[in-house]
Amino acid sequence: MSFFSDLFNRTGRVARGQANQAVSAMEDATFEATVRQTIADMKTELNKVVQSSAMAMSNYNRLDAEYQKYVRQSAEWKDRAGLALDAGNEDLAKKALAKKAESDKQVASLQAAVESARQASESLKNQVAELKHKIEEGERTATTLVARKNAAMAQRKVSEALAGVGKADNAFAALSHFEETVAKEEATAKAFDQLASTGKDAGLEAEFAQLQGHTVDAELEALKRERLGPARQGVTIDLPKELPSATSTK
Amino acid sequence: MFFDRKPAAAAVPDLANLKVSDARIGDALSIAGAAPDFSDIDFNVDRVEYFEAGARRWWELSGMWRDIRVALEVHAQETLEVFGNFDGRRITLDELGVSEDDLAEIDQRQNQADFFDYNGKFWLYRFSREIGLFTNPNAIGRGFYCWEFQEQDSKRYLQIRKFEGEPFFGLLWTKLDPADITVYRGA
Repeated sequence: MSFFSDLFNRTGRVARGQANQAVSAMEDATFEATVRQTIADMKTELNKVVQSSAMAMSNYNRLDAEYQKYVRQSAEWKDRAGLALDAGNEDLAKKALAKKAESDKQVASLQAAVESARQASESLKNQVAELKHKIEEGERTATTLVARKNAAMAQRKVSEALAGVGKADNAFAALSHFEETVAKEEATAKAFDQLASTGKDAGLEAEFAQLQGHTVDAELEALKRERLGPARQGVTIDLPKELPSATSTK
Repeated sequence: MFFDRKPAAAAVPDLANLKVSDARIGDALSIAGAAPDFSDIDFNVDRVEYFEAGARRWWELSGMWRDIRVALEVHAQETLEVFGNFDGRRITLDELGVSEDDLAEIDQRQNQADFFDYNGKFWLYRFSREIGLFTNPNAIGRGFYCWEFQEQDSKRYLQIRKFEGEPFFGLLWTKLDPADITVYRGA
């Protein structure tokens, strides 16, 4: 049982290792895109907050406009009541003050809602500003991270190449491999060469070569004799030492 | 290689960095510190009007702030320039202390050295000309005559407008820094 347990543990470890390696490779290959996507996600979130802010501001502006309208009406009715009093028309002044009271009632009922809407609007505006700031910071960090990652990867490749521990795409490792192959070929050729020369006597070879040389000399002598022919053999031809002097025909 | 593929992150519209020239009806605008008490002026754009004078084109975004109709005049041809009208007032010629004849003379002279005195400040003549107003860029508009003055050593401008059959009225505009305006895109 313990054998199987050990086997499963080891197999699991290998599988986890392979999976981690695969995920790391994916992360390496898509690092920049992943970082940019993170920023894009933040911007999407910011857009939502911007739209929420627009709605909150719209709500506040609408409520505030209504609130300000009643505030203005209240002030107008107060002025009218004053004018009526100045004119000695107390009844009219009372009517104006009653209207003012209606406006004041609206002002009071709207006040809390306006204040709440104002706070919501301000809060969202601040959130937008804060989020914008964070995204700007995030974009700067992302740019730096991508540059650092690229530099680190380049550095790793150079170091791997120099250390000769590269992978399949490592050109230095490939060259080293070719060098080994050539050396192996050369060694094989030398071995065959040695094998071929085993059992041969250099002195004997030289003697045979000399003998072959003697045969050639003998053949040359025979050829010379043949060229002279049998008639010519033993006959001496006297050739003049000098040619006669030439006579001018002119 | 599969892993070498780097799919670009899907383009997300950048709603957090919209310019005032991107604003449209339904957007909320916030102008930092523009209120008399230096609080922000926030309003929802509920109207856009387009203007044309010769080759120049610009537009006005307006909406209600408190119970005042406020407006931003946006010029985006060469550089982005924005002017705000936040008091909602229509100033009469009597209040300004100028007459129709004065304006007619100023228009005839077209002299930028001309000025008049209003509220203890000098207002320097800048231009006067006919301007076309359109409710949308493709609609048939209507024209009005406009005189523009600039307060001396200031970022405030006064426009006196005259529509046919309507009385003259003045509007006060303050030149704004576009960076002070935040656009919140409505849904």
